[in-house]
Amino acid sequence: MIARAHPGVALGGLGVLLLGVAVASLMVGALPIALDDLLRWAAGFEIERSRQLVLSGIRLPRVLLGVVVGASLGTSGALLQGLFRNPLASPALLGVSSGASTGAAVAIVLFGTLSVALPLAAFAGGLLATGTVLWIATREGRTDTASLLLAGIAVNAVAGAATGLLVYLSDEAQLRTLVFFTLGSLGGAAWDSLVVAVPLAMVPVLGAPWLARSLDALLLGEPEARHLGVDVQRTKAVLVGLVCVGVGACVAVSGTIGFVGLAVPHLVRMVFGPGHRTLVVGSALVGAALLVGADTVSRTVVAPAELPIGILTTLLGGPFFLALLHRARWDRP
Amino acid sequence: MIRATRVDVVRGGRALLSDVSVSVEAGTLTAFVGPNGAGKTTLMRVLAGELAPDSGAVVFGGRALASWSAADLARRRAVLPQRSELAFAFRVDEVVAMGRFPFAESGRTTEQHVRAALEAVGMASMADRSWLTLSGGERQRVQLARVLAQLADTPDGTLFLDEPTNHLDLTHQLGVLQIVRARVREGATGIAVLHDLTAACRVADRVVLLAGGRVVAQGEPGAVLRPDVLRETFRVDIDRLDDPRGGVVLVPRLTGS
Repeated sequence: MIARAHPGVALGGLGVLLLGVAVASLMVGALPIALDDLLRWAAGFEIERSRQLVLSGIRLPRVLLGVVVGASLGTSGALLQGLFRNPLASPALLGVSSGASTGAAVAIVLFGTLSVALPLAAFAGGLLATGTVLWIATREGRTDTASLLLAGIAVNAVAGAATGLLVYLSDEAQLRTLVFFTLGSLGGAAWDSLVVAVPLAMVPVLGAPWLARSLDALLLGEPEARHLGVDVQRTKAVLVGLVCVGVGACVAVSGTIGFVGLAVPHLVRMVFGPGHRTLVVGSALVGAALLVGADTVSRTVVAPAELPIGILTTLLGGPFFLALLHRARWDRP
Repeated sequence: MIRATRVDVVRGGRALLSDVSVSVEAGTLTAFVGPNGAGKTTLMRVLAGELAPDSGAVVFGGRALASWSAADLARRRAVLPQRSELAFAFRVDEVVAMGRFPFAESGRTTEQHVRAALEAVGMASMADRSWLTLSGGERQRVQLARVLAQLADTPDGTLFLDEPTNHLDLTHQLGVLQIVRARVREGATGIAVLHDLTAACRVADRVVLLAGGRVVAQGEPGAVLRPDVLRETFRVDIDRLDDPRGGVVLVPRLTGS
């Protein structure tokens, strides 16, 4: 017997959680900021100048970036798992992330670190990689999961090797930027990069609710969804486009951050059920809270140095996912 | 009324259907029977609009099937698959509610249709169970409820059922056939792939016997399911006994007995 929380209550709760994590993240750091200072600053009153600068110049853009990237990766994971009717799908497994980081690497090494070319190249790389994976795995409108995973592995390997080649060819300044990409970090948060990245990264988050009902029907199988009136080919195309734009933008500003797209939808599904109307929004909220939380840890745990957040999410996410697999094996009737 | 004329389907160099012409009258129940690989499911997929034939024409409700939009078609016909690949922990009532996807309606209306459909298949008490914990037979009944919900306010809709009695015990096999029969009596059109020839004889108005992608015979059950035709098609001796309550019973003969 399954009882479901009311979607409004559930999502409201997650919203409060995200707000709490964001406030905590604004307060914590090399220069601690008390809650009353934060509230006074938020209400537009004067606070001590150094604290004001830290908040508006460093912490707020960083928290915003964490919210947007986390929401985008969480939603993208939920969308892809729905599309492939497979809870193991994620932006990383399907080549979006590695393709996007190869694209970004190409932009860095060939064109320098132009801020305009970078997100475009990341987007194109993600689209090319995922397009290849989908093309290989789809026959007569049916996507075969086994060939999908194999194609994903192969495309990931090729993209990884291409990135490796670019690392080999790069000079020292380029190398530092490339390492930032492969490890993932929100440390590059600044208002000018946010202006470009936020609208793009939010594309899957804002588009997902429109696809939610079609995705529920798709879980029955592609022919069944078609019988229910879903335009399956169009849904697939729109969905892959949304994910490529979103993940491409995320990789462009924060590098590859693993396991958020894989683990977050699992967490949300366990608590709120597999229905996509709550799943996509819930994954955005949990992804955002998780990434802001992880970023807070990554910039305080080895202070004054900083741990790349991609290392942290993967170190925590990997074992979590293994535990999930173990549980799933024993739960299956 | 559904009519397929000279339909061919070729996949991987193999003809799945060759020169198949069938017509299904509105308000009747038609059974597709035949050995494995005969093309029953393929023909059903063609008539349901899931598979475009390589040549030939299909007309559904007075116009070319290909000219129907997926959304319009979904409000006119529903399809019960052989098995479902759903692998997520939906509740039973959530699965059935997916049948209402083609309709823009209030949550309350959907709830009423879901409850009625679950009651029709005898699964009302399991509405809040997880799909993943259901047995094969229970899953089949939930899927039937989803399909019934889809046509809940389309009494003259068309039901496509691919082996609807799959995984079901005797009681529920009968139950499913009775539900389908009742819907047809109320004005629906039914097309079912059936393996049980006696059941086909008993419930169907017409039978289409297929073998090797071709129509061997079609017409009234009694005229199509003759021992000589069946021996030719299934390569099994089949005795046809008169049922004292009307109809016939078809019994395959074990060799050596």
